[in-house]
Amino acid sequence: MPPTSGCLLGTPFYLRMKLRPFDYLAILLSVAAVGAFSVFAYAGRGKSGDVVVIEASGQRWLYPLGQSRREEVHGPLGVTVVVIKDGKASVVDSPCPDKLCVHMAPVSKPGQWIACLPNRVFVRVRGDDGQKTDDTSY
Amino acid sequence: MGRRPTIPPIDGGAPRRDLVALLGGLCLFLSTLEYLIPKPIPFLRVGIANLPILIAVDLLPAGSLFLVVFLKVVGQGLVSGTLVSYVFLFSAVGSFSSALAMVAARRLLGQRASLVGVGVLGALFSNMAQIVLARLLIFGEGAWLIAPPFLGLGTITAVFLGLFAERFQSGSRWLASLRSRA
Amino acid sequence: MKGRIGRTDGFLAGKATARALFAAGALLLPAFLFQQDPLVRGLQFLLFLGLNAAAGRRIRVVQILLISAGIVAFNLVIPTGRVLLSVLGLPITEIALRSGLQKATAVVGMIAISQLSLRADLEIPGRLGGLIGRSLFYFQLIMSRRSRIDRRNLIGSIDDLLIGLQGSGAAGMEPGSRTQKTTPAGAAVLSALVAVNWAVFVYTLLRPYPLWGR
Repeated sequence: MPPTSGCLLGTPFYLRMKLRPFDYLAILLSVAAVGAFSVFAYAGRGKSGDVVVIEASGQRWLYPLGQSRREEVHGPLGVTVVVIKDGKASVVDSPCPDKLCVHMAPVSKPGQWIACLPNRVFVRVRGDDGQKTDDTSY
Repeated sequence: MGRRPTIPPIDGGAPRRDLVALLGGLCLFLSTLEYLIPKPIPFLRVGIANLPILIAVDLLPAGSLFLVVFLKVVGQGLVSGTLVSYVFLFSAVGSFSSALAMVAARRLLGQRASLVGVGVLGALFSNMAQIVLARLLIFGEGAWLIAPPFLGLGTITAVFLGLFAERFQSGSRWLASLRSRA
Repeated sequence: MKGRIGRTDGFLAGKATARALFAAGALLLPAFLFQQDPLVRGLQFLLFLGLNAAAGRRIRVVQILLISAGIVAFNLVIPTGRVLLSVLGLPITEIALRSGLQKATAVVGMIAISQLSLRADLEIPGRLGGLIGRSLFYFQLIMSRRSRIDRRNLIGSIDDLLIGLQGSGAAGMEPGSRTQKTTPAGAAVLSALVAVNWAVFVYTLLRPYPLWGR
């Protein structure tokens, strides 16, 4: 019978003990799971993890592109409606006379923006360098 | 030494019930121990309280094993006073899914996996279930960010726990006496 | 078989049965968990914390702060809502903050209610209760013998300890002191506690976010 004494981290047992084939398989499965979650959490979110920045009336709002929502933003002329859907942000209504902002294409990539100058509403997608580009004022 | 005998009940199962209670108490003791060990990172969970369950996979039928898990979880909740809280929920979900995975692994893989493999699989499913729970209840989308290190650390600790369990199993006279009782 | 879980003194010791305490805790739970205003929740949590302290339980402030901070931080990672302020270049957003506070208060509050309502002499009926009691007995037995574990002979000493336990299960366990009845004073305190929390809850149903402001 193997000795019952010996300290926990003593090497003899661990060298003597042979892992069986499915032990390695189990560990491999775990490593694969870690990898899959890593991709999902860190890389895959690149797109839906991007943040939409809405600036108006001296305030700032941040929303993740990945979640659908409808936001009403107040400016001097009235309410501009911003909709985030399918990873894209767009202006669906605005009190400005020519409604240029409504006709601008939906934005989804860092750096893109839509602006309603008459109502002083500014919508843009923040990149990963985050705060540095946020601090520009218009 | 036989590898997968279950303990046949004597006197209508009373000795087995006693063993279940003992294992439950052992789990509580180990979880208290883990709580008292100073850790560099407060949230690091080693899971030594799962050792009795891992070792008991080859000792008890599934139903009794889940009973031990029940005693472990409820006991922890009562002793620490957190029975009515998310803590209990996480503990319950984690421990039960771990036991489920371990029993399934043993049934499906037989002796082709040692307690290391069984333990690793148990930890994997337990941790995944808890991450999902965390996403839903307390962390929101931010839960995914700690998923990889959480799972990774869990795997590493599971390997060490499995090795210890195997070592204990091969050297324990207590286990031998349990198995030889007929 | 009954086993002692821990302290039998504490909140309303001698004035309420353990079951009454447990029932009060169960009733408090929904009035707390469904509360939407994080500030009201915070106040409720402080109330429960105070009651626990009054009962003589040690309050681990650092642990509570760490847990809360962690949960809030995780929720702030994905910014959502109006930017309230920027800390070290990272934005603190309103909706994310509220969500984080909600969840953090839920966790620590539930723990507080739980500790308040569980007392050592709570009896769990049935065979299951007997089993729980017995496992707690073994727990305490092992705890009392833990000095026999030797780090240099880990497996061996644990093995010996386990062998030594055999046969102890049949030994009697000390029946803990039990409070038999709930006195009128005790009942009044518990009822008031439950009533106040529910009143606040109903109020916030009618007027959401009385303190947080919307």
